[in-house]
Amino acid sequence: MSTLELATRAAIVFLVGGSASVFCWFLADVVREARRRRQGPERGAGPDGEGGGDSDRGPRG
Amino acid sequence: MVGILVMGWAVSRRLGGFRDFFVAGGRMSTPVLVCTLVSTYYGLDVLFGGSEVAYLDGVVSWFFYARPYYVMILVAALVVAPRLRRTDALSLPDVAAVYGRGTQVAVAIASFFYSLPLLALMGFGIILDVLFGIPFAGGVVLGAAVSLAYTLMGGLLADALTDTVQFTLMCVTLGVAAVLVLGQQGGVEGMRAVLPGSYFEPLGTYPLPVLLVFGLGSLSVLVEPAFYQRMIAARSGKAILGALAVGLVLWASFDWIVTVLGMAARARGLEVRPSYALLVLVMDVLPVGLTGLFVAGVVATAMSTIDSYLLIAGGNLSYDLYRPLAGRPLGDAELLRLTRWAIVAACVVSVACALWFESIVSAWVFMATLLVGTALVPVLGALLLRRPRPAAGLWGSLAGLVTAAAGYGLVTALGVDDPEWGTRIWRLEVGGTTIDIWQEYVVLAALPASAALYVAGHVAGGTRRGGKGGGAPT
Repeated sequence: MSTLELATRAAIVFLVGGSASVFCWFLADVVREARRRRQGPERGAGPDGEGGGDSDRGPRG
Repeated sequence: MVGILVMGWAVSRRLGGFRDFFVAGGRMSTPVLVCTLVSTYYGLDVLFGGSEVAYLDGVVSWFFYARPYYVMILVAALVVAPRLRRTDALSLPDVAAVYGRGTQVAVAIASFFYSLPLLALMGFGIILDVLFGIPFAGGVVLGAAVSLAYTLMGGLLADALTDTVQFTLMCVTLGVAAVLVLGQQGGVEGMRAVLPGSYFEPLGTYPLPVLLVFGLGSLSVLVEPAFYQRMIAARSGKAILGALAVGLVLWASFDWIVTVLGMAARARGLEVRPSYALLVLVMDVLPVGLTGLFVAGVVATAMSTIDSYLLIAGGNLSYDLYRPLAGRPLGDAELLRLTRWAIVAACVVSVACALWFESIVSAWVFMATLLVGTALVPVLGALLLRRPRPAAGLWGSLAGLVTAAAGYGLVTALGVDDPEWGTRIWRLEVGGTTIDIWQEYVVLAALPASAALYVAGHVAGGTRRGGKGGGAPT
């Protein structure tokens, strides 16, 4: 199989598999956020459920 | 479309103010960022433009039209994003505010024109015309109306959430189309037997200056308004890096598949307008159900671009142009209301331009040249220099703005359309020698003019800093 053929097959797998995986990641994110909201807002936590500590921005005007 | 409108309505109930509306409150997570970055930045220009170059010249489309962008995306992620997030800026012109109002207004004008979603609206009109017989103007207005409705309601968060659905649809249908097309063509090797050898050479047959301009076009990533908005809206720098890493793989895959499909259209012997090659090929190959899914993906691609850029163009009018010139502080509610009206105004201007312009490529070249020529040097200076000087920003941005507008005007007025290369060329006779000036070359004058005047302003200008100081890293 030539390099171009291989690259094309890899691109199809990455595109379809990658986009589907990201969509699942997004859904998991939404579910996590919904759970967090039901349990009550944790101080400083964001919608990605990663907690508030990793934000690198300060308060804004 | 109904689902998208419902999502916009649901998000609108959670909005707390302008910052929530315009940059999603700065709390976008990695998966949402991936979807909104990939789908917004990849519109019909990539889908139809990339396949057009591949149809005409082969794999050069990926190597010189697409690949330079990946390098600039890495630079944006590693150099621009961290510095941008140390500022208080909410938009690209806001970064230039460190030089004063004049520079902010010049950059806002360039950003506004760049952000008008002309190409996507025109693509929308063409698709609805071809598929459903809806008149072109009606398709343009319909696409604008739906995108406008949910962007107005939910702002960036609604935009990003719908982008997520649109992004998945777009990627999966393109992948499925590629499998079916390549199956019928005998794979890449089957195309090699039919196409000229130059189609498989990375340099192709384009003149070197055009390849240079293709490469320079990637600099737009460093001042891309949608890119800035999303980097500002990200929850953290870590989220940006993750999103761009995943996005790079998806962008490279998407570009490669678009390139291969453009070449497949030529190998199949389709005699169509090059920009229509991909759409016609896929319609020719896919069965009925999958064709519908693909069209939904293409429409999704157009809509995700329209809504994102309408939001930015509206913000340019209200936040970046009106607010600094208003002469009084604007409350959050007033700014939000103004931005919504500004989005409507931007939509009306976009529809009018989409119906008026005959050559969308020409319009895009103008917009990109205007943005890169006006904003690149001052904005990077604001982010990278320790003490940017007001005169440098003002001189640099105005030089780029004037050179880009004048250069484009000259090529438009004095040049002629070249059907072979699909561009407008001004032929100058100098001492018996003919010099071809493509409209794409204007950026080669605008960018150095901006850089030279920026340096001159930096050397000659005072040290007093103007504006509210939003752009300089703290």
